[in-house]
Amino acid sequence: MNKKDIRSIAYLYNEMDPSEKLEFERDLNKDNDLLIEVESLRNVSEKLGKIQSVEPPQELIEAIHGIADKRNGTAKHSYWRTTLYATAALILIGMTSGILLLESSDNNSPGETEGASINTPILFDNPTSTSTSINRSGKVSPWVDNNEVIHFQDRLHASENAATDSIFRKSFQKLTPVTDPAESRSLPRNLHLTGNR
Amino acid sequence: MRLNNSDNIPKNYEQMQDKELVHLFRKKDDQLAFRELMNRHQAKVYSYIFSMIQNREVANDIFQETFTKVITKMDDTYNEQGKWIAWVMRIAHNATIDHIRKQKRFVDVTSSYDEESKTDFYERLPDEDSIGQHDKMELDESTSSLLKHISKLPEEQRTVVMLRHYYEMPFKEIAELTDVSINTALGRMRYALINLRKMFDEEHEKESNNL
Repeated sequence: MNKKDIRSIAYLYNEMDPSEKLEFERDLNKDNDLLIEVESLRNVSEKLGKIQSVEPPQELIEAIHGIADKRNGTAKHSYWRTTLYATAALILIGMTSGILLLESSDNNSPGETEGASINTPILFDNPTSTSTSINRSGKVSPWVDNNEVIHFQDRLHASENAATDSIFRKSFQKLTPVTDPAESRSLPRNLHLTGNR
Repeated sequence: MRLNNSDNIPKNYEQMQDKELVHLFRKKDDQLAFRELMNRHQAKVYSYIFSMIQNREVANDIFQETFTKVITKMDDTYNEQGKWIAWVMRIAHNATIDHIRKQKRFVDVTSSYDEESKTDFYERLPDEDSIGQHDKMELDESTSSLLKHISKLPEEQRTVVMLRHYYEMPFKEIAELTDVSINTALGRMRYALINLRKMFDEEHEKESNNL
């Protein structure tokens, strides 16, 4: 249906703004077919205006008032239920945030990195990397980035110090530490090795 | 149209706006406020449902379902920024359309042959003239004749006609309620009027031939 067809209905039902109405009335004066169309639609619309409203039965109204009366108790119950849910949600959020905070402080705790050096048991992967090389079963899975830098991450026990030292010694014979001054400033505990000489 | 029981409602409630009454009912469980709201709008809401369904019993059920939802969901889903009655009409409209669509879905005419009466679906349909005979008696002749014609319109056109003529709803609100553009709503009204004009002409012709 094009806009021209809709205009007669918009005009009949006062859905036009004053300027549109004026323009349409000008068209009506010029176009007899349009005038006939509008008048015949107006005639039908006026007939529809004679429809009387139908009243609902009184018993039905009483039944609905009864439901509204009962709402009083339900609304209060609903209020307490909402409060209960809100409190439970708050406690849950608090507990989750607490656990997350504890975990993050565990990871950054200076006590754990105490004495850490190139030869010490704790090694860190690049924290900006989204990839993780930690395997929960204890197996370390190193990975190499585009710059041929080898990354690995694990937390070693003190009892494994000797074995770790031996791995490092062997690594230093074949690989060289990455000397990126910017990175070494921001990440002092990173150990990056590369096969590029 | 107001019912007689409006006499029990204090005068100051009659002067309040819908939103003030809604606020009183929601926050203070003021039953008189709810009764005043019902008095104001019940006839139009009921008329709309009845005109769409054309069956008193079903219209009663849908009307009750509508207001039960209104009462129970007013705290959760009604946002006081919008017009309360537009929200109520949306509930009434959705319940009515749901019913009409369910009816369409569940009437499987091909498999409804009744062995006992040896009749099929069409044979068991009541005569057109006997539909709503009881209802017609309560309505004046022109209203029941108009409703008979309107009931023959496609659902979308009938909806626009009834929302506009019973509820005097602006086309912008009709468009929002029925999830169409304002031009589509206007277009549906135009087709509805053209179809009704045709029906009136045919009826007029029949009457002239009978004379």
